[in-house]
Order: sequence, then C-alpha cells, then structure tokens
Amino acid sequence: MLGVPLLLWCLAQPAPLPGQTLFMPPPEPWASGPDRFFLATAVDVGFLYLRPRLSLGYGRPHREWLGFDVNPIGALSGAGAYGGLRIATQFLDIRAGARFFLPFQRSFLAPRESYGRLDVEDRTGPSAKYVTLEVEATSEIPMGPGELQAVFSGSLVKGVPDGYYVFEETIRVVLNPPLVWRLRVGYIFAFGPRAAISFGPVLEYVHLPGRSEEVLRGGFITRARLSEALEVNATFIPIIASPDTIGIQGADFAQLGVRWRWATSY
Amino acid sequence: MWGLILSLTSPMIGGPALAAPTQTSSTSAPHIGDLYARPAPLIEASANAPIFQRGAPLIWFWPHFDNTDYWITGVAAAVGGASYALQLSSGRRASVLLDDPARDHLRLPKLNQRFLARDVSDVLLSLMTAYPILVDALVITWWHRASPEAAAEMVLIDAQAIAVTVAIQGLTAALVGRERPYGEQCGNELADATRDCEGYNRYRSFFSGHTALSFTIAGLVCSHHTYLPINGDPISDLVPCAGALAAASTIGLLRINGDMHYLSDVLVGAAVGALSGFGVPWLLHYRHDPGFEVRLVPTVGGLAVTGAF
Repeated sequence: MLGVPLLLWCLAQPAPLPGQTLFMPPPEPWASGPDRFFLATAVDVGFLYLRPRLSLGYGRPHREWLGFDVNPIGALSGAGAYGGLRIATQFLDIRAGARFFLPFQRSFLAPRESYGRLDVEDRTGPSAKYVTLEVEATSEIPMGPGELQAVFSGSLVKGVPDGYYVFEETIRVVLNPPLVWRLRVGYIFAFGPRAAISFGPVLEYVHLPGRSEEVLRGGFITRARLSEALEVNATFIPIIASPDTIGIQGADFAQLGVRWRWATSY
Repeated sequence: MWGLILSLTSPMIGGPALAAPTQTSSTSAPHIGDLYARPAPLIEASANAPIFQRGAPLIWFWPHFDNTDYWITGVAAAVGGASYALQLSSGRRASVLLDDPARDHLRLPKLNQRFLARDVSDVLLSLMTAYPILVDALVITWWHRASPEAAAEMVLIDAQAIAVTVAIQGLTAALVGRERPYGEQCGNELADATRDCEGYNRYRSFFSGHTALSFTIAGLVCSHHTYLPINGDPISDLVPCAGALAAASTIGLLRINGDMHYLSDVLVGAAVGALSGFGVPWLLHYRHDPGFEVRLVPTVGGLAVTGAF
C-alpha cells in the first residue's frame, strides 16, 4: 500500500554530506508555551470522510491536556457526531464520550449465527440509528527504533430495539448490543528525515460478548509527519478471523488521508 | 523557448543525489534531459544556515489556479454531488454490442467471488485517489522537495479534473438510468430487500464511475510526472504513470468481474476518465505559455538566476 513506496523511497535517500545537518522546520506557534486554556482543532479528511474535531481544554494543545472534544462525522456510509471528555499525557491518552451515528442505508439485523455480505445489507429491519457510549485509552511508548502502540476501547451501544443486532459502523462488527470491547497492539517503526515516516504492523482483537464471538484483524498503519500541523495517515487492517464473512465492510480501512492540526497560541 | 534553466531535481530512487547543476544556453530549445539533470546541494552548511537535506524544489512555471478554475471546480463538484441525489430515470436493462458475450466470459461464477472483486476494486480506487494528492503532492513535492507552490497547484488541478469527471459521470448515470447487470438477479440470487437491489444505485450502470475516476487519476499522475520531474529522472517518473494506468485497467476489469457494469460502461468510463485526466491539466494549465519569469534559487556558493520565457 502507501507504506511500501514510502519505505522504499526513504531507504533510497542518500546519506547526508559531510557537514550537513538536517533541516529543522520552524515549530507551530501553538506547540510552545506553558499550560494554558486553549481552543484547538484537528481535521481528518480523506477518502471518503470528513471528521473535524474541536477541542476546548487546559494544558498544551495536541500534547498534554485536559478538556472536551466535539466532532461531526461525515462519510459515504452515514453521518453522526461525537462529544466527550479527554485527558492526554505524554504516554497515555484517555477519552470518554458518546457518539451518535445515522447510517444512510443500513437496517437493524435479525439475529443470526453468522452474517454474510447480503445479510448485513438486508433492509427488512427498521432503519438503523444508535448511540455508542465509549471509553478509549491509547498509549504510545518509545521502544527501540520505534514505538509500541496500544489502544483499548469499551463500548455500550444503545437505541437498538429488542430482538435485533446492529452493524456498528466505527468498530465494523455485527454485535448483539450493548457491549463490545477491543484491543489493538502494534509496533511502529520510525525512519526517514527526522523520523517523520512511521510504518508498522498492528493486530486487533474484538470481543462480542452478546454473541460470544471474537474478531481478529491484522494489518498495518502508516504515517508521514510532514510538519507539526500536517500529517498523512493510512490504516488498513483487514479481517483475519471472524464469525462473519462480510468482506471489506468488516475491515478497518478507516483512514486514508490527511490530518491538519491547529490551536490558539500562547 | 526557455531561457537559462537551472535543473533542480534530485533522484527519488537510488543513485547519488548531488552533482553540479546543468545550464542550457538561451538559444537552445529545452530538452527533457535538462529537467532531469542532477542538482547541487541547495545551501552549504554554515553556523547560521542549516542544510536543507531534502530534494531540490520543483518550480511552477505555468499560470496559477485562478478564479475561473475555482468556478469550474466548484460548479462541477456541485453538479456531481447533486446528481447522486437524483433519480431521473430507471429501469432500462439493455446490453449493446459485446456486452453480453463479455459478461458471460468475465463475470465471476460465484456470488462471494463477485463481492470480492467489488471490494478489491474499491480498495484499489481508494489508493489510486489518494496517491496523487497524498504521495505526489504532499509527501514528495511539498515536504521532500519543499515546493509548496507546485504542490498546491497539483492538488488544485487534481481536484478540478476529479470534479469534472464526477459531474459528467453523475449526471449521465442519473439521466440514462441503465440497470446494472446484477439487477436480473434481484428477487432470486439476491433478495429484493437488500441495499444492492433497493434504491436507485441499481440503475447507475452507465457509465462506470470507478473506471472513470481511476482513469482520471491515471491521467493526472501521468500529466504531472510529464511536466514536472517529480521523481527526478525519466524512468522514475514513468513508473507511477505506468502503474496508475495498469491499476485503472484492473479496476475496469474488476467491475465487470463483479457484475457491477457492462463492458460498454467500462469502456466509456475509461474514455471519459482519460479525457478528463489528461485533458483538464493540459487544456487549462500545462499548455499555457508560462510567460517570462525570473527566479532566484540558492546553490552551492551562492545564488543562481533562472528564467523562462
């Protein structure tokens, strides 16, 4: 995918000439300064989604802070919004909030042992709309030539009528509500000028208590940090094992785009 | 005619990066080799001037994206977006010429195989759409070559060509209302109450949007790599173009394999997409005389002047 040509390109870069040092791009105005109240935004745009996030908090924006996040969600599959509390430290980032999502062409599903592609696209049930209450903890710890990344999330899906299952669009699974939790672990190698390019494998485990089933995914994530404000991201984590055979709908192909960050300066 | 040209490129793949600059005389026509001559380091190390260890910048010699271009892009995007909300016609199931023989030979036999073909075409299209914007423009041109001006122009041209394709394809699909090949399976192999069979997406077969968009992207990649030495040498710049055309062709084939389109849908989509991907950049941008421009560019030992007229 994108990571392979980026990796090849970085490996092919010539060594610096004697006396050369690496260019240090100027930092963003918001990246420096003491802890303070701030307004920040991070906009994710890609193929095909738009997720602008607004944050109001105290601390150093996009680094270590405490506050609130709100963001609308727009994608080809549907629209929604998220709002919640967030605490970010050097190695740990925790958020807790609620997300409402309205799929454009999705219905609640009749219970089955296993779902195929046509089963999740069945439109005989009521049109799906639901609220997901979730807690997510993300950790990035430098280790060796890269960093260890781990994400744990627990979600409660509400608003599903009794006797129906639902395809949760963010976690990309069919679940018997309300509970679902997942753990994602990866090791990300950083390389290139100023270690701006990162690429690495990830493994994800999703547990569906209501169905007594698990989903296992494996893939990779790539990031090119072009500046403190701008980065290019790609995530592709297809299914390895699942009780369902729903193809690409069950994979996490959530990001293929750019993230732009800004915040008020000190 | 080109004036003095200082070749400012660096190789993307392999080879030593740094060599003396090449200059052409003011009386000779520009040669493709001039654009690919290896550059010298941009700035020498000093206590106050940190070295910029990136590729040499790409200079944008053509007119910039102007109000007319923004209008074209905006109107095309609006038309394309609106057309997806319209269902002006539906119910026509008609194959022409070689559509039926091609479908008989190329359609995959099992339903899950056809779904897989659709998924692969979706993933390929996503990657293709991302490549010229994320890789060529942002990572290589903007970041590696520190050429924000050229990168911005490339992204705007990409958006313009894509918007034009989406407008033409969206409007055509809505007006023609051709049923997709799998439509005849609705009610037996495919239940009527499924996303594929319900709604008007079932009647948007002509012409293939995936194929049109992928050939537009291929045209854009080829165009940018033709006029700008993005990868720094002719062979390296040929590879993305060839790869994009191969990927676009694969997408077109997969859409027939997946029973989403007829052969005629894919061929027309490819033609329209290629016309947009090659035509929009050339017609609205690259064919224009850049006019006289002088720029100062840092080199080893000082500054150089480049001129184009």
